[in-house]
This record gives sequence, structure tokens and C-alpha cells, in this order.
Amino acid sequence: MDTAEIVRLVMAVAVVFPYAAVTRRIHDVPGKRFLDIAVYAILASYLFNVLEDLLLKDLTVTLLLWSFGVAGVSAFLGALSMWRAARAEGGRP
Amino acid sequence: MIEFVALPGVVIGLVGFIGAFVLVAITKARPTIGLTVLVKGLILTVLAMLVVSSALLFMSEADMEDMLGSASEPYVAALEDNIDTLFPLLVLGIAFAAFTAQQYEDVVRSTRAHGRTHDLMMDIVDSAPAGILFLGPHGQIVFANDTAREVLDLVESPATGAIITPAWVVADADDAAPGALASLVHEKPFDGYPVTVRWPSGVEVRLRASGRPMHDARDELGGVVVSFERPSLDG
Repeated sequence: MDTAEIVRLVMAVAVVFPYAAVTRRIHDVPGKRFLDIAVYAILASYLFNVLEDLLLKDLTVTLLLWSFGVAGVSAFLGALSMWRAARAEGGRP
Repeated sequence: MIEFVALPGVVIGLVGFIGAFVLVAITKARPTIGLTVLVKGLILTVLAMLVVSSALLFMSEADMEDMLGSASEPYVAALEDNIDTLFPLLVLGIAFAAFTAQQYEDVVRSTRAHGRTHDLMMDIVDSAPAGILFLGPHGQIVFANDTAREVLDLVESPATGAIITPAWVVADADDAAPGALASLVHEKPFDGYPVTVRWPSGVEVRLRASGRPMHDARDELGGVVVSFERPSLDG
């Protein structure tokens, strides 16, 4: 495990709890749930990235790539909710 | 085998992030839904990083890194090492920015609700068939509703907004001690108290006033709320 991976893991773990605490207080940002899923999927990808050299490499790489897939789809759906909410708020986005 | 199973994941991710970036980019910032310019900028930055990150991951897994050329290798390596490290910080930034926007929106909403309540109360007070005055501790008229303004010929100074009292005097039922409204300002509540308002022209208005003292935060007399029914005119 190199320094960048350690820093990445620490950052991922250190950010999860404050992020969860803060986003719980935000109740009406459009697409928040999808964006939350995207963020958690990316954080999971960090873990898989770090575990890649420690555990079953094939499995962790597969999970790493698919966590990007989940994050991408969720980010798109979150952005779509945001776009629709902004459009409904008035005028063209 | 693994690449066959796993590669579509990162491709879907890459397409999703590009689509999300485009959608957020064309979305107009609207603070009313928590999407301020700052939040939008931070989300776009994160999505751009994720597009680059997933593109690099895709190229790495598909053995396409050679396409970038050998000169770019150190930059790509540095990007791969550091781009993800910035991501959590940016996410936290977005969360705090959105939280701040939410708080601001709550304050705006609360202020609007307060303003609506105030307007409603003013409409009710102004529409009341009785005259309502609030006299300050020295008897000065601080507030008068529409009926009170009409009965007592009160006007508002355009310069200061203060209520200008015409040159009338008030007296009690026995016509004793004609003076100002200050005589109504005291600690004791009163009901049906006869008051005569006399204009210099001789016109008199007889009122039956009721009053309740109001106290300030230090429990000192801050003024008196006086109400009276629309009177009959003599003179």
C-alpha cells in the first residue's frame, strides 16, 4: 500500500461521517438521494482500490469498476432530478 | 474474464458522469432549491474529476494507456495518485455549501412567513370598525389604525413616518383638565372612559375609550393600547 492509497483511504473514511451528518440536515436539495448514493459508491471504490492488493484482486477490481458504474448512474439520475427541479422552478434551465 | 465482467461497469460510470456533467452544466443555478452558483460549481468540479478518473481507470483496465503517449506518463501517474484524494474534500465542500444555502433559504422562508403574518395582522387591525391607538409612554401616538386616523384627523409625516397630531385637545367627561392624550397613559386598565376631543373650530368628538397598559422587556410601562368605537359627532 503506497502513501497515496493510505491518504486516499484516510480521506474516504474521514469524510463519510461528517458528510453523512451534514447531508442529513439538508432536506430539499433536488436529487440529493441519488447524489448520496453516488458519493457512497465512490467511497466504496476507494476501499476496493485499497483492498485490491490485500484481498482477492479479481473480485475487488470487479467491485471497484462496478462501483464506478453505480456512481455514474446515480450521479446522472441526481443531475436529472436537479435539472428537472430547476426547470420546474421557472423558465428554461 | 474479469475484464469482460468488470469493464462495462466503468464504461457505464464514465457515460453516467459525462451525462451528469452536461446536465448540471446546462442547469441554471437556483438558490431557492438549494442549488447556488457555489454548489453548482463544486458539483461540476467533482463530476469533471470523476469523468477524468473513470476515463483513466477505463484506459488502464482496457490497456489503452499507450494512446496517451510516453510524454504524458508522469502527468497521468500524478493525476491518478492525487485526483481521488481531492474528491472527498470537494464533496464535503458541496455538503457544507448546500447546508449553508439551506440555512439561508430557511431564514428567507421564515422572513417571508413573518412578513405575510405582519401584513395580515395590519389588514385586520386597519379593517377593524373600532379605532385603535398605541400611545407611547409620553402620550404620543405611535400607531393608529385607519378608523382612528379617520376619526382623529391623523396624518403621517411623509418625511419621518411619524403620526402628526392636529391641534385638538382632549378632556374628560366633566370637561376638566383639557390637555393631551398623555392623561390616558397609566398603569391601570380602563373601560368605557369618556373622552372628548375638541378641535379649535369647535367641533367635538365624544369617545368611549378602553385601554390596556403594555410593558417593555424591563417590565416598565411602554405605552397604552387604546380602542374606541366610532363616535357620534356634535358641533
